[in-house]
Amino acid sequence: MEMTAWTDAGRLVLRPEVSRIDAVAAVAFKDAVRDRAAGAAGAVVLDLGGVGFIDSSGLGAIVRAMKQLAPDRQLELANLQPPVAKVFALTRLDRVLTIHSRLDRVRDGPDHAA
Amino acid sequence: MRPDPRRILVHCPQLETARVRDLLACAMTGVRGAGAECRASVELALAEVVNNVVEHGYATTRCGPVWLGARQMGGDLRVVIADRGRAFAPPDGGLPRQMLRDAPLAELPEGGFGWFLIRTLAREVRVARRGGLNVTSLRFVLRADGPKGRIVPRRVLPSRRLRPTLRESRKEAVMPITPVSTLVARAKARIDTLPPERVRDMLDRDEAMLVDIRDVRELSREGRIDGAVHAPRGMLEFWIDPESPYHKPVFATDKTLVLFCAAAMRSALAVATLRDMGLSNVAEMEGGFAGWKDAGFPVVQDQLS
Repeated sequence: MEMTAWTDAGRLVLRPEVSRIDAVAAVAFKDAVRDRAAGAAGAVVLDLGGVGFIDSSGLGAIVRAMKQLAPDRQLELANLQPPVAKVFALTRLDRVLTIHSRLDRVRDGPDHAA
Repeated sequence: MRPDPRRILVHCPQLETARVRDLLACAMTGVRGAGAECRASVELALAEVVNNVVEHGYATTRCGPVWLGARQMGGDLRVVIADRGRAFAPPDGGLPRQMLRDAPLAELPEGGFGWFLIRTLAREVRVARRGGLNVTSLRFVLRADGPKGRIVPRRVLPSRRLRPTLRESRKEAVMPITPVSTLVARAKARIDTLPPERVRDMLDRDEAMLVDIRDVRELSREGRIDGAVHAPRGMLEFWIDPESPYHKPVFATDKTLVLFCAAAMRSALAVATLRDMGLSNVAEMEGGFAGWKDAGFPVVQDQLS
């Protein structure tokens, strides 16, 4: 899965360049987060600004990614589109995850893309 | 004035996870007038139902037929999804219990949100088993944009109770077909493909019987392999099945039936079908007739009359 990565104030920011994290994309998404996050330290922020649709498979993949990073590293979310924010609120995952309403994109520039 | 419900029927003969997006896109073209947030809710609920069908209903094959019928009258949207998967009783749809207390991260569920979302997003949900089909009926109230968006108005009052059935649908939208290359690739993944040299060895040891499934015109035009039994693909299953009135005794054999066509595409589909019939001693020849010729083995050219 295409995922842009850059660092922002010591956090690794990952932006999946897909519009849907659904049953088809869930496994590739989880693997991409794991691969991108490997070798770095600190919190990982998922910039979901480009994602307009998440289903329960996508939620499951995000929870799994959180577990993979734990206990040393946190997974946080940013830039949720309204339909996606609604899914996190309904399932109460918004109480478990740190969600930034918007991410100040003071970026060092993408280190590596794709 | 007659009611003018919008209706849509999507039929996907072989739905698999990779095609759920197409099915949803097709279904959502029939939903009109709802705001973006409302459309997203409908699409998510449908996605959860359909994903359950593929992942659990068709648990062994992860693939099977799904029908989706929808009917909209103003703000009232009814959707029926039918499948031939195994029967199921939908869970009550509560949140996974870990979400209701402050469970530690390690205990957070990675699944179990599906039916909760369906029941939360749809106004009504019913699941019934009818004639070998699971029939999941959903009802939504469509709203315009905004948190307190108005319900999409009914332009025409229905004169009778809305009961969407698959048969009633007038408008049919069929999903784009599965490319034949995909069918061939799937077939090849589950059958044996033997190189011509191996087939030749088996023939020498009397362990195999070559079955030429090409059209009779191809045989006279391109030549044939001596000793191969010709069974055109159109008759193959009928000639092989001992219970069929068309059965040919030559196929009642313990030898491995090695099917070939011109280039091992039709043969892949044919072998897969015979496997579905329960035959185990069946394989295809790599490269088909062309592969046999390229391996330097002899062919017979009958005199054109």
